[in-house]
Amino acid sequence: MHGFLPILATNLRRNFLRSFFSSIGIIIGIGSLYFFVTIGSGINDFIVGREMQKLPMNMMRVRTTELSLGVFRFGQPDFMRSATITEKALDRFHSINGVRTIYPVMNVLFPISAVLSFSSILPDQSFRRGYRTDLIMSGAPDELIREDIALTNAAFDGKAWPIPVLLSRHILDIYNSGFAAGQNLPKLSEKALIGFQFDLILGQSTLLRRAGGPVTSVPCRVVGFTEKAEMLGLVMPLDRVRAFNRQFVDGWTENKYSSVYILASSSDKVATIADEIEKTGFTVFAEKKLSNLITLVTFILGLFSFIIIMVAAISIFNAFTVIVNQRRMEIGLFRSFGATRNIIRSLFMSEAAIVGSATGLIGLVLGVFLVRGAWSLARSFLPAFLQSMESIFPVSPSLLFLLFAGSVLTSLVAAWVPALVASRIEISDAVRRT
Amino acid sequence: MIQVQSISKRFTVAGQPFLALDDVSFEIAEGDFVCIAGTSGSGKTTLLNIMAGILSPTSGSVLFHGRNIHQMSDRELSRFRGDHLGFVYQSFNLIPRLTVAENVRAPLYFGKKTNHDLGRRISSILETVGIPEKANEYPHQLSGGQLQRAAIARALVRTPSLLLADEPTGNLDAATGLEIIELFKKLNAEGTTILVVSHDQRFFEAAARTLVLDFGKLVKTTGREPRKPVRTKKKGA
Repeated sequence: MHGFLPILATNLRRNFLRSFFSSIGIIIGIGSLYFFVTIGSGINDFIVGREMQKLPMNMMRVRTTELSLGVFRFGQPDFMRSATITEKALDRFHSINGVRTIYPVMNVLFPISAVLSFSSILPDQSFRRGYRTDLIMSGAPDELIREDIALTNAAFDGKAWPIPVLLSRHILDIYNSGFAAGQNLPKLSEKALIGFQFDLILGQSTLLRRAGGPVTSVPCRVVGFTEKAEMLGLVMPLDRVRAFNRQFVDGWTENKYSSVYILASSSDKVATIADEIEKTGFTVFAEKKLSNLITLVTFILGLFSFIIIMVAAISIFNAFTVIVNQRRMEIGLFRSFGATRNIIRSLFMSEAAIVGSATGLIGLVLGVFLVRGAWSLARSFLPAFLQSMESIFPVSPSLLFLLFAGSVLTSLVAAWVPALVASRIEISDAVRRT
Repeated sequence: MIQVQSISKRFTVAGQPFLALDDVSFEIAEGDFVCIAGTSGSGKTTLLNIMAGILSPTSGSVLFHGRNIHQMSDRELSRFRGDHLGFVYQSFNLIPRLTVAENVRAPLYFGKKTNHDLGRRISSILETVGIPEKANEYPHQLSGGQLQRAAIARALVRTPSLLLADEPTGNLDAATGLEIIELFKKLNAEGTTILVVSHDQRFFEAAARTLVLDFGKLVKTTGREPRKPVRTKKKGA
């Protein structure tokens, strides 16, 4: 078999164009499959993993169908409609079969902002500047966030003073990855911020001021970090937010919640509970449900890619069948020179393996570029302070390997029958007199 | 060297049995030049293919140095063909996308690796067959006689024990055919054992022995008896 390679090289050179065109489907299929799976798992991790705050599999979050991000709707009557999870709705949720506990969350519905001074944690004189920033504030019951409290013995109720707050981890991520560099500030750790105190300005934000009424400042203290806050938000005791809304929101007659965390008795019940709730007009974000949805969409798109690859496999089968027919005489000659059936078969299978490897590689390069392009495009729509984030679509070595192997395997499977036929060509038939 | 013992071959054609060969027996010794003659359909090519191990006989055996080639595995038979046989076809059967030198070299891809200078060997063989200057040309650039010479060179490159030729002058004009026959004579004189299937009269005269087939039976043998086994030095080995 020592001369196998020269023959293989000659065959590849000769059949390059035919092999390439018959394998274009594999390039497109592998590239698109890599793209869909990477985008799907990236979105799954980012939204389900981060935005969904890594909820337990038997927990879901219910929102009103109209999503509100608080800060740009303060003081507008229309905005009030977005907070329509009433006490009555909570009772209804409680009565659904499979619901174990519910944890209502209420957004602060008037302008607020915070004045931050880092002097207590950054004693260097150059950092004594104060910063003012708008915030999204919500109130949650102690039972929902108890495990997130890091400050020892900190109470989390309506009576605690300074008011205990939990920060969203995203705030720290954004500060460290974007804001700090831009403002020449040092990066901060969670530990450094525990116990940090700041003033909350109630009734005024950097953009809006509550029409009429006082503007009040209250002291707050960071007691921990939570995944259960809005992306740029804080969480304080629910009783405090109820009291503030009663005090600062005109026409506030009954409690209206912006979302509810529902704990099911088991993860199997999540889908049924979610369906029941969605019939009443709310939107349910359940990690398992959303994850399943993203997975389903990824699967469907991936299926299209798979179909493209299968069509390419048929094309490769046809190409090799033609090649075998064209080379009948040559195959017969090789057999008369001493080539065994195994060698003939191996010749064609090797050619297929090389074609599969090359097209798989090209397809993966295409896929990686597509993903990078998608991230560049997505990033351009993100706010400035999020643009410095690392890609949420990292290159997955295991996926690359899997798809590369799949490409080679597809090519081998497609060429198997033609290779078998080639190995069974009778010498007498192949070199028959013309 | 080769003993053909009571070879018979039956085919089924349109549902009817057809006896292509009927109890054919003969011997070929080393250094022999044998011609198998007969009309079309007499079983000449069938006999050649059975002797080459390409076709299996219905009954009988072909012994090569005492070993029945039709009891060999595919691997052993392939090795036997590669190591001991050289084939020359009527239609030359050169690979169009390879040069003459590459065509001549092709059988070496399937043999044992050697330390010989392959380039020199190929040049030597091309010189033996009379086309050294055609080494880098492609088959479509050669005449019929040159093509057959290249095919003969390819058949000789592994120094076969037996050169098998199936109507080697069938596609050539009279003059070119004669050149090829002279080449065969020269090769035989240098020690190559040759078995030619042909209905070309000139081969009957060139060969030391002619076996005549008629309707699958060996009806006549002319020429001298098979040579006793001798060891001859082959040029170019």
